[in-house]
Amino acid sequence: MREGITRKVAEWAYNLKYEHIPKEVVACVKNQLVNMIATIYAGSIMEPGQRIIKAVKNWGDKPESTVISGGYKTSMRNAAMVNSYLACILEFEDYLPESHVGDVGVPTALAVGESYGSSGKEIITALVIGNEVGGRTGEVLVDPVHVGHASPNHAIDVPLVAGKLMGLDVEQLMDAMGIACTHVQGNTMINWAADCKGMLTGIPALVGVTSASLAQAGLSGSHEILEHSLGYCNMASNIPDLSRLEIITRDLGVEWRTLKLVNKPFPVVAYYNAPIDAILKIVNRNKVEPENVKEISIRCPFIMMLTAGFYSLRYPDFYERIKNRRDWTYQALLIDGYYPMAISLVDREYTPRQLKLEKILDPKVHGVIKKIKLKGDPAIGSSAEVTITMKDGTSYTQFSKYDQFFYPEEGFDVKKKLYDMASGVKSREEIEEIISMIEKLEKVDDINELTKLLA
Amino acid sequence: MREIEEGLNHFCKAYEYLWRVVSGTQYYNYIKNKMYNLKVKGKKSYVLTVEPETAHFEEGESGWVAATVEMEEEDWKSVFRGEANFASVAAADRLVVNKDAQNTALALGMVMQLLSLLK
Repeated sequence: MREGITRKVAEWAYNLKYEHIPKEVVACVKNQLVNMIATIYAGSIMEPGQRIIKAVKNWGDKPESTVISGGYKTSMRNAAMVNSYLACILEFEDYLPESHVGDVGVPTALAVGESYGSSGKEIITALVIGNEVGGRTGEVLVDPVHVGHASPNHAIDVPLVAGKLMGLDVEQLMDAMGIACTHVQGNTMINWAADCKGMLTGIPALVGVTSASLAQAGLSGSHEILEHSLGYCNMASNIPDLSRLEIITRDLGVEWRTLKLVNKPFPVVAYYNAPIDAILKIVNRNKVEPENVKEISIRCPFIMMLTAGFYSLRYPDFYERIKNRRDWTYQALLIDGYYPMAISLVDREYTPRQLKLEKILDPKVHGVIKKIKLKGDPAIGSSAEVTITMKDGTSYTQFSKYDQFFYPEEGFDVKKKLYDMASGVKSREEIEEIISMIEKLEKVDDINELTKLLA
Repeated sequence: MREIEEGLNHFCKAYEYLWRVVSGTQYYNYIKNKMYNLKVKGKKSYVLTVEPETAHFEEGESGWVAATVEMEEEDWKSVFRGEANFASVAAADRLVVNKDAQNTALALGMVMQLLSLLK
């Protein structure tokens, strides 16, 4: 049954209150916030991040909401766009099984919440709406050409996150979705290598917040926008059977997608998490000099083979392109995978610091790349086993067990990530204050108390 | 061309053996009950038919296909070695697929690459 899905989603979002949300879901949202703020800080020190921060500052828009790490305020829709862009440009954010969510939801909620003086409870509630709706629409809009960050689903969840914080009623929330879905937000894959890749989420954030504002001002959008055969879902994605749209509203408020949220430990497409984790464990526990390595054999997630070498195996001049062309950047490496695995061995860490041009072009790293041998193994799931064989015959093997959503076996500390990623911008005391405020977010009366710490 | 035909043979056999696994992926609905023209640039052309539980191919070209995929022989070989799929060849601008056919073509390429890895 696909009838009335737009209305049902809007009604659920309108009626959801903080008190309806289980404690464990709230805990996940707080972790999501810490992780995403860390990710935005990381994005803000990258060159493209610096460029967009400077560009939007020069626009001189009405100062409503904070550009994180930018030291200024701009209009809430542009703050949502910039912060979302920063959250997206490192493949360092979070994800549900079929959709990234935090890199649009968190920037939208913080920008709109700041402008409207929302409480911590209201922010948590809005983020849950974004995760629950974004997670479900990601399961429906599953074209092979529209996966991951390329999914066109944020035209649906962002207006709900923004509209909830603006206090829109059910009719207005439907209007907001309808307006945001005026254009299908498909993507152009070749742009994934350029600076503008961050606009995969930046544009939906901008459009979603703008749409909610226009709905508040009385503009209408179709109230059948999701389910109609000429509506958004069927136009955005080649859905084999429209009855699948029912997934969007199934068990809303009963089954919580937010509980499946994964915060990324490394700036890379998630398939590579387990191999990188295994490489780091080996090189940090043993004496492994890159020049003495004979072979790096990686038994890896089967599905990882779909993206491994996505660019480097097709373009003989791949690294020359990154060196010489402005439209080929480090972002291509995050999908391709070979460089992140190799630099992990050389530098014994893998963070945004490893994405500087001099490191990307380092011959030592390229020597290691040539020694990587991948074997996709359908039996290994999301885990990986790495064997590093040295020229003297010594070998080191490490199995990194990740479950189906790629959680490291020993868990992942998002606070440590924030300390690391914000360290160049904030003092330890300031970071402690940010974490402390998020931990008691439900007691915060006005989110401006948090956003003023993030500037 | 022997390597290409061996690759196609392997794909058909592996699909017949593993169609239940493939049916658990998002790709299945995009490739089942479809015919494809698979062309090796400047050389041979094959018609691949993917049914719900089987797949077969024959030399030639059909006017009734869901998608036409034309690539250089070396790119076909890299798909059948499990090193590439149609999306990664397209990312190098060496494969052009009509927009209407992109979903089914890219889904087929991903299944082909993954099944090739099982050799």
